[in-house]
Amino acid sequence: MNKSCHMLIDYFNRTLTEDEMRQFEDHLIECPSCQEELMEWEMLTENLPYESEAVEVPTDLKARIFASLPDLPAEAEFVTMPTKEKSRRRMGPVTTVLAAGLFASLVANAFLFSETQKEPEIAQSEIQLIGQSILAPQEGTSASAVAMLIADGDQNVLLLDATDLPTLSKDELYQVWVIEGDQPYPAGIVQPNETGTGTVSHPLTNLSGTWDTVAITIEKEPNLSAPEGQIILAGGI
Amino acid sequence: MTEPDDIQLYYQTVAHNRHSFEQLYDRYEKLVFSFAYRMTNNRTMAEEVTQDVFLKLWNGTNQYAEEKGKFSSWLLTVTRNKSIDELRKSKRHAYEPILDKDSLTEETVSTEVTAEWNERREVIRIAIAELRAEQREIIDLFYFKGFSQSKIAEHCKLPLGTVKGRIRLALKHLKGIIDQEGGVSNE
Repeated sequence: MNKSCHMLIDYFNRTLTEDEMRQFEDHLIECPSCQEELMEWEMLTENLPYESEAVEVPTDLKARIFASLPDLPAEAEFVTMPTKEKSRRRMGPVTTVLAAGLFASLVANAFLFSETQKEPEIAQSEIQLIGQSILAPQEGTSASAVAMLIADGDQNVLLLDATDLPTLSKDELYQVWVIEGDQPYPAGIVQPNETGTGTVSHPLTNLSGTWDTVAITIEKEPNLSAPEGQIILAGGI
Repeated sequence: MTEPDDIQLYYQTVAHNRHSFEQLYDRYEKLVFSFAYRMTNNRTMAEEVTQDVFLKLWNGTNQYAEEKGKFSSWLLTVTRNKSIDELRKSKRHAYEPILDKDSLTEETVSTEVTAEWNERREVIRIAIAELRAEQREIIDLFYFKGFSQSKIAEHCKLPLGTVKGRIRLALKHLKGIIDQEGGVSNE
């Protein structure tokens, strides 16, 4: 035990100065004994908040908090095609560019797939954006991804574009999931290039359409029945 | 369809899904506010703490990771830290509690979270009542008032070197009684 170990209680109670906090946090990284002890304090105190008596919450607190949510970046028109019933999420400019690229790519594919190029309007008009989301990176990664749900005729397709994915070990892969209620479904593998960028287009044929979350995990095997590895990115759609 | 769990709602919240955020808010508003009030003894500060905790959740300022344990435990730790910061900032961090008990209102609970909370509270209160007065006091000074070691030593007239041992003993004793009561699950 060194001098810094004695600061643990005051660190726990935030009574240290900013410099002392930083000093203790540096120490904590290198001191398994303090790490263990901090976990013990957290375990010993985790029931205590529930000792609080129920207090009437001001009736307008929720409204005030929701009114003060910062606006997301200004909505940019993404596509002018009609959308299905699911609501659109507002997108920031960066997302808009990425999403527009994905969408343009899909439209281009639909165009190329049509046997005749005489009726490109028909192929385009069947493609509709249903929803999109920015997946949030989990702690310790700078990865980002945009997921979009597209209706292509009668088929729903998940499009996902990920960047800055960390380098994997030889036996690992990036698995995409869509989650319906509590049930996850594998929805393609992202194979990033050397810069950590990868795209997936996956038809969602076996789902009822009520799924609401997209996630990417690191797995050892493709298409497991449920995620087993670390979550890298996740978000609602 | 089953209700989405906290972790699912959290990830959707940081992806700025308002509906998920609202579900999470509704689940924990009362617990967070009541705990902040328990810590600060002041409704205005409890409101500020609640607002800050949820806004930071929305903004992703405080990041939760599953290895940090249960989402609810993490959220309450964030609430406690903010409450202590507010107390300190307002320089109202005196030992004498500011009694404002008139504003306490028991309410009928309906949600899963508040039902679990009521159950836990009963067990914890019984357990606390079984502690010796000095153990109750040291837990209050340490956990709910967030006093420094030296301030606890001064208040309890203890040598500085023994404060940590006394707090740990009191908390372990409390946990032992709670576990014996068997009514509090951390699952």
